[in-house]
Amino acid sequence: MTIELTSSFLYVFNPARLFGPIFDKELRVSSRRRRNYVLRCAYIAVLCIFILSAWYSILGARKSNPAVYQVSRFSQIGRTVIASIVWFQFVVAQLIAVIMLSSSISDEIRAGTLAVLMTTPIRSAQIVTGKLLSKLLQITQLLAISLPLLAIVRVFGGVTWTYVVSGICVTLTAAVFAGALSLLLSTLYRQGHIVILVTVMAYMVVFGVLSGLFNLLAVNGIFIFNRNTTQSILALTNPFWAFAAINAKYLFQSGIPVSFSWPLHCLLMLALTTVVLGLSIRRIRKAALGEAFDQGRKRWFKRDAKRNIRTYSGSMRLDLVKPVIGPPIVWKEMYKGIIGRRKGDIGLSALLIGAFLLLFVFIWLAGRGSVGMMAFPSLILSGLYLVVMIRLAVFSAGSLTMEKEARTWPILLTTPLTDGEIARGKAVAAFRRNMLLILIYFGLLCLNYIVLRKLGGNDNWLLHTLCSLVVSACSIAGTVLFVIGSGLYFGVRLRTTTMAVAATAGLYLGVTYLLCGLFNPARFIILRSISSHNLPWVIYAMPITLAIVEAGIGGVFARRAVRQLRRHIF
Amino acid sequence: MIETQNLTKNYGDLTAVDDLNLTIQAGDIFGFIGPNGAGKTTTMRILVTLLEPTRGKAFIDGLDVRKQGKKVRRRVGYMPDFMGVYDDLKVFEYLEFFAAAFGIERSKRKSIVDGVLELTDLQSKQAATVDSLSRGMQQRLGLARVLIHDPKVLILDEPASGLDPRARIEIRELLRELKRMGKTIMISSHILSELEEICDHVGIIEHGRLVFSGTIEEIRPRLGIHSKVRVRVADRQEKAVELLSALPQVNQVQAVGDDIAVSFNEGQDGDGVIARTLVKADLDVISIQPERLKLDDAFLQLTKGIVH
Repeated sequence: MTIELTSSFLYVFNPARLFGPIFDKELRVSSRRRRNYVLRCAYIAVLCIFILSAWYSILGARKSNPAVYQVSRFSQIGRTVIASIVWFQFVVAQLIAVIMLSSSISDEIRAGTLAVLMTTPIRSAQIVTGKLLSKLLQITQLLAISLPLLAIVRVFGGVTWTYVVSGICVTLTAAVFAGALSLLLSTLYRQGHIVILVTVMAYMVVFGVLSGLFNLLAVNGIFIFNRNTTQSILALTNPFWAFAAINAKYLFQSGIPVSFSWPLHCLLMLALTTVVLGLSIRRIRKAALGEAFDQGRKRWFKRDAKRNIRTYSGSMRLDLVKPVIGPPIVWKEMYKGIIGRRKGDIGLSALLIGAFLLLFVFIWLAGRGSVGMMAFPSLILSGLYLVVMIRLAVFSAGSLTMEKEARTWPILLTTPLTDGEIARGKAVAAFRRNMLLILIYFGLLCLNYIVLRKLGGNDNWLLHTLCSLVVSACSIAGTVLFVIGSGLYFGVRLRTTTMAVAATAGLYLGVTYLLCGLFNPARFIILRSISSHNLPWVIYAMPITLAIVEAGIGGVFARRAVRQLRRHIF
Repeated sequence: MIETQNLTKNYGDLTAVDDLNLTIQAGDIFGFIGPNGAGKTTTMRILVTLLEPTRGKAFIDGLDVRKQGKKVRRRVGYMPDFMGVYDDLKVFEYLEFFAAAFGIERSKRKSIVDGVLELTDLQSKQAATVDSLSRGMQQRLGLARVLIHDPKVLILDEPASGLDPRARIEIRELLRELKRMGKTIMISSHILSELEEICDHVGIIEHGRLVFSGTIEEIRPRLGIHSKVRVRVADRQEKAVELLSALPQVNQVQAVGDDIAVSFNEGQDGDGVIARTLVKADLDVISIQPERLKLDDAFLQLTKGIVH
C-alpha cells in the first residue's frame, strides 16, 4: 500500500510529466556538459573569495588589535559576510540565468530542431517553461550551496531570518525574470552573446539609468510623484532597488522607502515574468515557422526583408561592392561597420548611446548642483564602462569563434596569412569597432571630472583634473589591451562565441575585482609608500600600476593566442 | 606532386590515418574513396597544413607540409567538406578578400576575380550576397575561391555532397576543365560513380589504411575478377550458350533473361572470338557489350565496412 502510494505520488509530481519532455531533456543534457561543472566550481571559488574579502575588510586590517576587540566585532562580520553573500548571489544568479538562456531557442533553430519540435504534440508553452525551469533548477542548486553558511551566520547573530528569506526570494524572482527576458530575446537574435549584451544593457538603462533619473528628479522635486512615492514604486518594480531596500530595512535599519513590501515585489516580478513568457510563447512559433521556411529564418535572424530584396534584385549592382583596402582581416572585420548590421548590434548601440545621452543629462544636472547628483554619474559611468569592455570582449573573442561557428576558420588558415597577421588583424578591428564608444566614454569622464573638481572647490582643480584624466587614459588603455588579449586567447581556445565572451568577461571582472580589491599587491606597496613618505603622486601611481599589470597580462594572453591559433581548429 | 610517407595521425588511442603511403602524379585527378570515418578528411587536412601528423611525412610539390607550411599553402587550394561562407560579403568581395589574403596585388585582383567568376559561371551573381546563393552555386563559389591564387594542387573534400544532379554535372564539367588546365586534383566523394567518370587514379582507404591505389582497370586483377561480356542474339539462345561454353577462353556462360553473360578466364578476353563463333553458326547477333567493373562493386569488395 505504502509503495503504491509512493509510486503514485512520484508519478503525479514527476517534473518530467508536469513540465513536459523538454524539461526532462534539458536536465539530461545539462548533466553531461562539462561547462556546468566548471560553472559550479567557479561559482564556489568566487563565493569563497567574496566571503574572505568581506571578512578581511572588517577584521584583517586590524590584526594588531586584541582578541577581545576582534570577538566584539563578530556580529559586524556576520552582517558583512551575509550582505556579501546575498548581494553576490543576487547579481550572479541573474547573470547566470541570462547567460544560460541566451542561446536556448537560437541553438534549437541553428540545429534545425525547433521546427521538428513543432511537428510533435509538444506545446510552445512546454518548450518555453521546460527551458526556463530546467535552468532555474540549476541556479537554485547554486543558491543552495550557500544556505548552510547563511544558517550558521544566522545562528551566531547579526541578521534575521526575514532578511535571509526575503533576500533569497527577491534573488530567485529576479533570476526568473532575467532568464525569461533572455529567453524572449533568444527568439529574436541568432547569437547568444548579443542576447546577453542586449539584456545587460536593457537592465542598465531601465533599472539603472532611468530609475536613477526618476529618483533624482523626485528628490529635486521636479517629478510627477513625490520622493517617497517614487522610491516605493521603484522598490516594487525594480529588483535592484528592492534588494537595496531589503538590505536597508533588515540589515542596516535605515533608509526604508515608505510602504515597501518584498512579497508584493516578488509577486509583481512573477507577473512580469508571466507576461514575458507569454510573449516568448507567441514568438517561438513564428521563429519555428521561419526556420521551416528558410526565407523566414533569413528575415528573422540575418537581415531585414528590405535588404534581401535589394540583394536579389540588384545582383548586377557592382557599385555596392566594397574594394578590399589594407590588411584583408581588418577589412573583413570592419566590413560590417562600427555599429554592425544585425538587429542586436544596432539595438545595443542604440541603448549605449541612449545611456550616454542620459548620463550627459545627469552630469549637466550635477554641474547645476542638484541634490544627490554628485556620486550618481560616476556610478553609471562605471556601469557603462563595463558594458563597453564587454562589447570589446565580444568583438575580440567573437571574431575568432564566429569563424569557427561559420566553419570559415579552416579556409582562412589555409591562406598564407601568418598567425600573427590574423591575430593582429582581429585585434585592430576589435579596437577600431569600439573606438567611438571608448572616446564617448572618455569625453563624458572628462566632463564628470571637471564638474566634480569644480564643485569640490579645490584650488588646484585644473591640475588635479588633468592628472586624473591622464591616469584614466592609461587605465583605459591597459584594460583595452587586457580585454583584447584575453578575448583573442579564449576565442582561440573555445568553440562558441557565447562561451568565449562569457570567459573573457568573467576573467575581466575577476581580475578587475582582484586588482582593485584586497588582494592587489600593488595596493600594499603604495599604501606603504603613502604612510612612510606621504607623497601625493602615489594616489595616481596605483591605477597606472594596475594599467601596466593589465596590459602585461593582456600581452601574455595575446602571445599565447597566436601560438595556439592552429591547435583548436576543429 | 603529392606524396605521403608512412603518414600516421593518432587522436589519443584512435588511429585515424595509419602508415599511409600515397603518390599522386602531376596533372592527375585522384579519387580518394572510403567509408565514413576511414581517414580521408584527416589525410586531406594534414596535406593542407591544418593538422600535424603524429608520424610520417607528406609532401606537396616537393615541399614538406610540416616544415614549409606557408609555401605549401600558396600551392594548394583546399575546399573542405562543409564550406563555410561569410554571410555578409558579396560574391565579388568574398573572392577579392581571399585574393588579398593570398597576397595578390590590388591592381591584379579584379581581373583575376573576373577570370575565376567566368570559369565558374558566377558572373551574374557577383554582387549577390554569398548566403543568398543556392547550395550548388556556393560550391561553385568554393571552387572559384580555391582557384583564386592559381594553385598547382586542388584538394577537394566531397565537393559534390548534397548537390542535385544538375549541380553535380556542372561540378564534374568544371573539374574536367581544371584537369585540362593542368591542375593536380585530389578529390574525395561518396558518389563513386562520379569519380569513376573523371578520375585517372583512385585510392581506397579503410580504417586509416590504403587498401588499394591505382587505375580502375588495375582493380580487376587485384580482386581476381574476370572480364565479362553480355551477348544478345535474335533467336536460338540455347544454341549460342552451347557454342560459347565450348570456347577455351571462356570460363562461364549463363543465360540471364534475353542476354547471355559470358565470363572469360583470368587474363583473357575475346569479344572478336565470340562474334566470329556466333556468325559462323549463322546466329543473328544483336549486341555484344563488355561489362565494366563498377567502382561501387570494387569499393564493396575492397572494404569491409569497418569504421572507427
